[in-house]
Amino acid sequence: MSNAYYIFKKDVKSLFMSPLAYVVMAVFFCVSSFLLVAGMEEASMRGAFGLIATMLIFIMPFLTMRSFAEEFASGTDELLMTSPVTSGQLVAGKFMAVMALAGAIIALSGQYALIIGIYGDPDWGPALTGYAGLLLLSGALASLGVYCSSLTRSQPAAAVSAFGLALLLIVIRAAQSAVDALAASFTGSAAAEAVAKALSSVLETAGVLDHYFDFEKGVIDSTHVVYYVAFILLFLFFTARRLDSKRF
Amino acid sequence: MKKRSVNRINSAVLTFLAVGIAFMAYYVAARNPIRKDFSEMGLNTLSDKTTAVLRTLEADVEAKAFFETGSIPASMIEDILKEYSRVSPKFRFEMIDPAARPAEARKFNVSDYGVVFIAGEKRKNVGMTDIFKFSYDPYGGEAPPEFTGEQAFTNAVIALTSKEQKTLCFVEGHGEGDIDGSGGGDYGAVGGMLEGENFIVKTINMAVDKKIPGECAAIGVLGPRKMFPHLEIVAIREYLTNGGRALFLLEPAVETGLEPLLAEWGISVGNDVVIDPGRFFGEDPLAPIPELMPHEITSKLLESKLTVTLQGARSVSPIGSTRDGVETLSLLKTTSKGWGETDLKTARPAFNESADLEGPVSIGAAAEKLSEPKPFEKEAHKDEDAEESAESAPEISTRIVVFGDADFPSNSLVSMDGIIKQLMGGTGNADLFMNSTAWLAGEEDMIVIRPRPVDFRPLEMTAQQRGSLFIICVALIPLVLASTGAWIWFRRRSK
Amino acid sequence: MLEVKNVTKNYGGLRAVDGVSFRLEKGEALGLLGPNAAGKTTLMRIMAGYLPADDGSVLLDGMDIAESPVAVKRRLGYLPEIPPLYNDMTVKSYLLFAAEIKGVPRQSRASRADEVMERTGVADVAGRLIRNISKGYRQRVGLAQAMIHNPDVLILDEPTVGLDPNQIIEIRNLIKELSETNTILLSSHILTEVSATCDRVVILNEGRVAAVDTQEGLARRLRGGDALTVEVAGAKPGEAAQAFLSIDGVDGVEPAPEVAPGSERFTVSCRAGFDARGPIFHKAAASGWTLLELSRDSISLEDVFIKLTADEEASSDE
Repeated sequence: MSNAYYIFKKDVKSLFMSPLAYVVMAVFFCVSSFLLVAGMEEASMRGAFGLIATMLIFIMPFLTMRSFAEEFASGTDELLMTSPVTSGQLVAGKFMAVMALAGAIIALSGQYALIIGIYGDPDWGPALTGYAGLLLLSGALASLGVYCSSLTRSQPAAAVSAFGLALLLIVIRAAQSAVDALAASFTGSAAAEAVAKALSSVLETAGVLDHYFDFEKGVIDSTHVVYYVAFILLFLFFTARRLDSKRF
Repeated sequence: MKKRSVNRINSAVLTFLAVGIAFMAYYVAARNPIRKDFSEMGLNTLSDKTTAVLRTLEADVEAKAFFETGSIPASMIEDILKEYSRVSPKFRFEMIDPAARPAEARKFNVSDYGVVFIAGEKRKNVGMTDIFKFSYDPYGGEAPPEFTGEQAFTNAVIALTSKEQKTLCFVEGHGEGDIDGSGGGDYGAVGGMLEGENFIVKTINMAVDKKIPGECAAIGVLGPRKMFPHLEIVAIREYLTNGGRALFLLEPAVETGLEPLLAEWGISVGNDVVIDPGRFFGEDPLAPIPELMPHEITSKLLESKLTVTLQGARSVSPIGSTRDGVETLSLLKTTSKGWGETDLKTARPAFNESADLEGPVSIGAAAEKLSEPKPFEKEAHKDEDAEESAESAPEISTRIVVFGDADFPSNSLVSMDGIIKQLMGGTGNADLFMNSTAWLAGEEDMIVIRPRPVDFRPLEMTAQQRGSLFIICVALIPLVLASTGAWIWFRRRSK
Repeated sequence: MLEVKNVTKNYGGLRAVDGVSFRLEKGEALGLLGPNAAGKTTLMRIMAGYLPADDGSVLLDGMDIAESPVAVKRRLGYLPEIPPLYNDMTVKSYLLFAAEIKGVPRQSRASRADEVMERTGVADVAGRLIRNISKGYRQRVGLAQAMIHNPDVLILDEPTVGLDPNQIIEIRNLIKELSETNTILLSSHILTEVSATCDRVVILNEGRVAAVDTQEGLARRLRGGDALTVEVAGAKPGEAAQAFLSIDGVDGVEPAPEVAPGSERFTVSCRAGFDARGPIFHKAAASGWTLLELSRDSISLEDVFIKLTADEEASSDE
């Protein structure tokens, strides 16, 4: 597994050596602080978590777009792919590197925890579970983004498709009511109704953001943890398959 | 077969397998969730009672919560309703900001914040006073409010899903206000609220039948203007004697013939008009703002500091009852400066010690009597649902509530906008009426759930501190980040 | 050592590499020569494990790269046509990274990096960002990367393309030097480059092997020699080759890839102007062998060289 670590190390270095990471972080915290600090009334991280989760959805595509697309565009993938490194190690290293940057952003949001800790008496339980939720959510977004990045050599295309897919996985919940309405109109056919019902229950659980809110409240539910872990592993697996299909 | 196509097939099978495993893992996890609440006060954990009620839900229940988006109550209620819907797939909810969707609020008769529970045709409203309890420390400090929403919501769900729907019968034929009417002296506003509380509201005319129909869980007499015929008084007496429930709103200077009947139950209705120079509304001492006496009916109003404004009232005082086991309590009282003026024609009212009732004057009273067990008669009316409760709780039978004013729940005083209501006082008028009917109909909460504190933890910082934090977080930290980036970039560029 | 067996690769409807087979022997420097778009890069990418073949296999000492890619790649060094360099890394850190992912043991990474930098002559730019070094240096760093793990086989795709004449000479000398110690497969569309550095040449045209020959054989053919493809069945191994070589006027008999079990294929080269078809037919008939094929090479080598020369002229015009 040390191969994954070498890839990770290389990517982290290149991420933190490029101005992009710092520009993203500076803009991120300028905006989030502007929206949060003036209106902070309660010694709770909930407002911050909600905002950071929303902003991560917008930011993550920019952090993940480089991961493979840039290698493809510059031809450096020929080095990686012809080295004695498995696709799994490659993908794991790339994913962890993106997570390091996402982790840095999440860690920097500790400034808000510091504020509520100094000026109030917060309930630290939900604050901790909220951070766990943020990490899992950003992991899901990262794996999705890394996958999208492996599909193209164009970074903008990678970012746009990652954002689009994430958005789709967020609003998918809204499609449920449409399917429900459709199911209600199928009163005649039992089979069609069953299909619509099954689809509805899949849609109900597919939303990538729906599994996050319980963490914010202070609840850790194995369902959500398994959802995120399965989500992350599945997309990393897709990415590895994608690389394997390109080479020996 | 060519090597390439073999690889493709392997890849497809592997991908299919991986997707299958992921879905299976999720499915298994979703079926056997392990859930742990890390909040200090267990705010996200429903009581076992609620869970049991929700697990056995047979019909779909929908909740529409009307709260200001982003407010603390809104987020608390959204959290708990989400827990409800998590336990039962039959429970759904929607958060609605009444300011943003006033039509929706009007449709469900919501004039204030609250939650409307809907199951099929049936509805039940849960208001703010049911969800939050504010208790006051007599020594000045304010205790944190308590959240009793879970009890209120779960009882609403029970009430909606129980097959039984109680009927309230309003007597007509003696110039009473119309419970469905929209005139100023009618009661359409509170009538609608009663329907919202899952009651069947109907009117009865005793001139034909000369008796109270058996379906009536309680009867209401709202401001009669004429004498009741003797046979009707007999019918009401008969009804009350057999464990009936009745609400009387009686205006001053109207003789109805009900007075002796009420006296039997320990309620004396004075032939007077109450004047309270101590506390009244606006510039009209004939519009007293009475003090609320502790009682099941008034407790929620007391807790939430609501007041009641009357308009031209007569005294209604508890006296000794001629019947056994009847307990009569006063509900509303004037200040000690008030009195019951018996000279109804005088232009200059003044307290007359010999004729007038001395303050504080009671303007409303409630009587209650425990019934003797009458197993045979009861058995006939009962359905399966009520059987269990008959064994456990002592059967409370007759209940009577009398107010010496019929105007306070009328449309002209109730169906006003919130802000005008505040100016006019009488913010609790509708609640007093609703709580009275609920008490009469025996609509107490079926289950009791321990209230939890509202976990609001304020940030204590001065405006100046906030200002400096704003500058640090909005400008300083991003600036440090940006300059670190610039520094690294410049340093590396020259290599 | 490295064997390419019947490798085929399609891009959409286009057949980029079509049933290519040849062997690379230990210690030799083999040139893969062909005009542009002959399938050289595709073939090398397949050999390096960057692309999967649609059919056929690449074997290193009998080990299939499709089945054990990691083990094979550990022993291969590959320099793509465009050197795979990270612009935001320094030369040294880049080579250390290459050493890491190519499985050089931790303790020898730094010394390996120093050694390859010394050999490729990039030690003087070790601390500079790759973004800021010249094209010749970039090519050398690419070469250094391919050598970092001391691979058994070096696959170099057009290592001198786009360099100025001085740089070309430097790189050629470097490759020549490497060929003393390493097994090298080098591709080029320039005849002189291959002849300058390689022992043997595979000529690729339109995805097929047009000829496999030594420098001398190639020179002979260039002088106007002729080649026949002969396939016989029923001969004992080696017997047929011996017999054909004994014909006066035949210069060489090279075994060509087999088609079916029990038969043998040869490329027979003859003196200029001599038609060996008659004598070969009689020889076979007299020995009782079945002659399955007897043909002049279908692609005239002439044509390939005309193309090559045209390419060469075009590139020197640039």
